[in-house]
Amino acid sequence: MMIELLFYAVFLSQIFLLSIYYPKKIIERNLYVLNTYPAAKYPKLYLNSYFADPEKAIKRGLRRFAVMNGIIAIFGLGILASMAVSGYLPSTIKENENLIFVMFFFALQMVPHLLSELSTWRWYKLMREARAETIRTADLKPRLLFDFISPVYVALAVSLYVGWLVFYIYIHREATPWAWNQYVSIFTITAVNLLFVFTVFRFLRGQKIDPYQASQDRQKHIGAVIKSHVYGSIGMSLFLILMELVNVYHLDKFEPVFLGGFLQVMAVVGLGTMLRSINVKDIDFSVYKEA
Amino acid sequence: MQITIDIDDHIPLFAQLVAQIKQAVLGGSLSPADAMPSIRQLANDLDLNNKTVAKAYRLLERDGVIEAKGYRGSFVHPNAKVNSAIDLNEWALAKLGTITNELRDGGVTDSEIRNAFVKAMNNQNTRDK
Repeated sequence: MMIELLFYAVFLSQIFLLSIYYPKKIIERNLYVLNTYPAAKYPKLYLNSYFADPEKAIKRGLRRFAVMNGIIAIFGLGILASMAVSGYLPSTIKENENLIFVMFFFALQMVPHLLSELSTWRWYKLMREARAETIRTADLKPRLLFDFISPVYVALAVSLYVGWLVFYIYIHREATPWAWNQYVSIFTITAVNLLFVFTVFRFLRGQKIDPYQASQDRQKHIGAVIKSHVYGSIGMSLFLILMELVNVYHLDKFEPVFLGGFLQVMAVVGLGTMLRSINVKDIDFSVYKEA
Repeated sequence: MQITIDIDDHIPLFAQLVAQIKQAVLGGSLSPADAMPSIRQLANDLDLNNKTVAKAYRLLERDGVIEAKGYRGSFVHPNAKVNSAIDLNEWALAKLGTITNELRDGGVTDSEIRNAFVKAMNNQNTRDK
């Protein structure tokens, strides 16, 4: 019964966190910017040359985002309700089926967030292309990784990745020759960590994403991205070690609960860190005014 | 400390960079041993070609304003303040002025001086290659 309660609680909290709480925060944030910094006074923020009515276009996008999340939340609640009515017991199901189920729903929940990220990326690209100013500024100071995050966290992330790798190889040492999925696991986790490293350095040294962004806001943005990626790597390695231990101690029935919990922690670390670190009220919007 | 460039200015971009970095040293915004941003970082921040920033850094290194320390990057030279005050263009102009006057005093015409200068530059370039 304990597993059932935990499974339902984790699933419910996953629906709330990713399809209700964070979308609401994101929409509120965007509406605050729209109402406080209108297109008439801050034209550089709104791509006036591309859209006849950019505010309307943003509001339409936000409405779509809210509707998609609402449908997914209702779908999730519907699944939970049907589970409860039909007397579904997660502990009687093979653990892999529950894992796939949790992963599938998480992937579905991430779709609106991914689409929103893509449209933000496209917005910034258009901003860069539309930029007409000939004056450009830059900080005459190197941006170094450890200016943004303590070396302890970076060392911890690296150690935990190596720790997981050694632990994984040790646990599976007798199952030789390895099946393809074991190679895939190592390759995928290594690739994800390398992608984190690439993203961090892309933000540290790469092109300005928002061409008008004030220097101090850019620093905050870079800091938030670095922290979320390093914490994300730490969380991922800890979770993978935990999952190996779950298999060693035959606690397979808890796997979906741990996976659901982990995905939510990752969401808090990723989305939460970004939203917390970059308070919209502290952003310097004067850079988007007409020169 | 921020650097500002104008891509529409008639002064070449690398020269704007050099002048502003020297100005920052003279004004005290940059002190000896201060780390400089990497070429890539500065080029990306200013949306310039890496080669433009690399050229500016090369000239600053030649002028003793910054010094490259291998993989650790570039740093402000210990004598940067004194070296920034020296204007190599002014110095070259003064030197050439003295030589031109000596040649004129010796009876060499202006067109002969010009031709000789071009030849001397070409010879130098050939030798360098």
